[in-house]
Amino acid sequence: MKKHYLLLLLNFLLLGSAWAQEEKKEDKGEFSGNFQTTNQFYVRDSAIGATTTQYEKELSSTDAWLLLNYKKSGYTFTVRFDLFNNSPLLNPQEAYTKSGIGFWSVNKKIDKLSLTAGYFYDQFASGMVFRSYEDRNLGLDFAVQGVHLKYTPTENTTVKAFTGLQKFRFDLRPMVIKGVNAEHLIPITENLSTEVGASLVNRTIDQNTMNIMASTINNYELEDRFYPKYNAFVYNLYNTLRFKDVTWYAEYAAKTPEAIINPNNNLMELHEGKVFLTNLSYSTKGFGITAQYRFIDKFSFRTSPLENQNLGMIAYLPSITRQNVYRLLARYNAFTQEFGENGLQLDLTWRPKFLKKHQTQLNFNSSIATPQGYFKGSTVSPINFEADSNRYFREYYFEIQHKFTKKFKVLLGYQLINYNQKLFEAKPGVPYVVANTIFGEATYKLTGKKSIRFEAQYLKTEEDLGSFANGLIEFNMAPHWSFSAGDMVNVSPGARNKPAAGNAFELIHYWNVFGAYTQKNTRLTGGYIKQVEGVNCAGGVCRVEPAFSGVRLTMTTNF
Amino acid sequence: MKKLRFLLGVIASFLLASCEEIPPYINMEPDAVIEDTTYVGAAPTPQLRRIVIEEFTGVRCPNCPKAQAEAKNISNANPGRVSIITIHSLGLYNSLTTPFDSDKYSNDKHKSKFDFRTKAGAEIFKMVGLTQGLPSGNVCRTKFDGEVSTNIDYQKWSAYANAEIAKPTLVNIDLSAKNVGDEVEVRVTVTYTETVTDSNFITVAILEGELKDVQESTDQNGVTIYVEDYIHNHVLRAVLSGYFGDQLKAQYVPGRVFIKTYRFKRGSDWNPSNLEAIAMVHKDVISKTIIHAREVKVQ
Repeated sequence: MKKHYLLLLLNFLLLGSAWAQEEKKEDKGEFSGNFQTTNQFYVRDSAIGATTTQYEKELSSTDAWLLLNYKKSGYTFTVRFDLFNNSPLLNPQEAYTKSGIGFWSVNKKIDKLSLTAGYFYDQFASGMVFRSYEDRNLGLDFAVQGVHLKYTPTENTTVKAFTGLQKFRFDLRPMVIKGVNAEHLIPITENLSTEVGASLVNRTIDQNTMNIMASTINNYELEDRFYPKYNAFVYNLYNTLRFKDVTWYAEYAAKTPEAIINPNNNLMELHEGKVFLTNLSYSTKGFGITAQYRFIDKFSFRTSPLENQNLGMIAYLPSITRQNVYRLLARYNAFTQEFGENGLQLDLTWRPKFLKKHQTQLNFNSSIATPQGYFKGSTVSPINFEADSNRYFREYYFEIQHKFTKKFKVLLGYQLINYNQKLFEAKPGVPYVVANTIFGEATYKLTGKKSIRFEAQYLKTEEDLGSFANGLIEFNMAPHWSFSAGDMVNVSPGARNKPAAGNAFELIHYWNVFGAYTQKNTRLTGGYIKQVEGVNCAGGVCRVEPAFSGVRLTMTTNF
Repeated sequence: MKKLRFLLGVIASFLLASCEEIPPYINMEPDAVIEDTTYVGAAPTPQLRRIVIEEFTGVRCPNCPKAQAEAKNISNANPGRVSIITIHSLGLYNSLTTPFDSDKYSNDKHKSKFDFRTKAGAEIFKMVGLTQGLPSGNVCRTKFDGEVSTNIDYQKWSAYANAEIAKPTLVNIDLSAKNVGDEVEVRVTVTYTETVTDSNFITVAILEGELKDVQESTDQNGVTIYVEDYIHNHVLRAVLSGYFGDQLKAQYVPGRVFIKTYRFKRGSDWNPSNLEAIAMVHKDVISKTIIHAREVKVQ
């Protein structure tokens, strides 16, 4: 069937190019695209836990994507070839091999209407009721195959509607999804505007999936049984209010009753769901502050209640906590608890005027995620540094950047994390992690094109795998070359890797060397990497990944 | 304003779609199980596999007697190795399954004595996979290579039945059943002879035979006839376990024993002398396959 789609699409492309030849002067059409590949060669290292199937059998893996776009006369034809050979990307415990057309679409703009058939990506509001998107770092592709309409009657009004099935690898999940969304911007004065919107999304469970659910429920104790629903409806109302430098966003979404797995007893239960998100930000020259609050109550909206983790997601509920970049700061990440969560984040940036010539900047961030009912003074209080085992996650982050001379700049910072490892990594019996990290970075410009950068972090904890130190030195020769070498060392053991009595703890090194070459739009990288196991996040969506040891080669290009 | 109306119309169409839906089958009655235990003992000698032909039928289905005859032929050719379950589904294919009632339907010239249809049968039919019409049926709820669905045309049953009978079973079933007052009591013992890693379920059902009632059929020339004294056998009367089976909850290692006793009130039109009990061990609702079965007469 996919071959037929491909042939059809190629026909369109050929026809398109034929027309293009005839109408050279008017519209030649335009090709564009991009290519990305990651190749990994595995070197088993049982000391760090790099022992998945690729280390034992396949020994190497390749992921690749080639996307082509052709635009002509208001039409856009898109096709993407995906390749996974022995790939751990879609499931870190699996060696997945398949290649083919991973995405295709035909889009036509007719006056104020944009019509798409095939696969499409889109989201309603913040994505809490619907988001179809791709994140290759995490192996996620929630494209929907169907039809999608976008109507823009005025520049301030947009109405969207779609129906389709969610993509799963090279197949489609059988649950039908459909939705409608409308947004309208109302400019009140020059400084004041409000943008209101509403959405409604429906998902219908297929008979096979319902059979599994019914069979499972029929095997529950009588008092735990309930009638599951084929259809779930999710709606939201949202508004963005802008007044001068202040922006206030609020969104409320609710879901009709459907089965949801209670993580406390692992049983399906019938619940309504709701989620509320608001953020308030103020930004002016040299100063910015953002406060965000989110409340989730049994709000999981997936292709089926039987899906978990990063599978079958229709609603996008990213982590409300800060996404860190440095290796040790990003060691502990919190992903969203759909069954119930209270989350709060505060982000502050200040550039003091009296240090303007040094481009000095101070950043502060704090976030907290707790179960429902635990949002109390004792847990939110900044002076309570004692770990509360009911708390999901808390982070305090502070950094200061200062440019001493035109050639030399420094960044220093501190991070404190409280992390419920038992919950996030499904490791029963492990203690609550409290981790203190100091970090710094210094960049020195040797010449106009050459620079050297040094970064270091030290994470101290008694729990998990214990304390780590990480150092990295990077040499850049603009615009083509970049080299780096680093080592992350497990300097002292934690609760999970304490040596037996009488045995000394051996230092474990996670070293890496890396090189990159950039030529216009093409970038090639290669490195030998040892990566610690843990939660990897991208765009606020996270997954638990095993350790990695081996060579990684990548290439990306746009044309 | 027109645009707003259009938008409201679209939203209303969604809301209308949310009108009351019919839920799937969930057993809200107290379980009929009066004994439920498991332990690991000695692994017994494996039994010979007994296969199951589930035949979906209807009293107004003129071709269904041919399917029943085919199932009987397969059973006769493999004595003691084939169980037949004849299922009249409640609420499905009404034009083929609704009992005759000359008082109620002017076109009917006959009146059925029994209503063989069951909700359990309909749910099983939906779970195994509905087909375009009747008769239809399956061999061990297995989807065979080259077939588009589990339920297939009766003319294909024989070849698939022979292939399935040749396969060994990984589990033994011992079964006893008796009438106790106005109830039927069925005791089933499942013993694993090999290690099994799939999730397994047990379905226990009551069948009735020797039911003399009208059946639409065809004569040798293909002309529709009504057989007043047609003998209906293996008719599904009730499923004592969950319709999709009760899960056997423990590790399936050689010697693993599950014992379950079910007690169920007989229907008012059942003949206690003509009842049979059947127990089937099978996979989940996705894999479906019936691994082994056992059938006894209710004493």
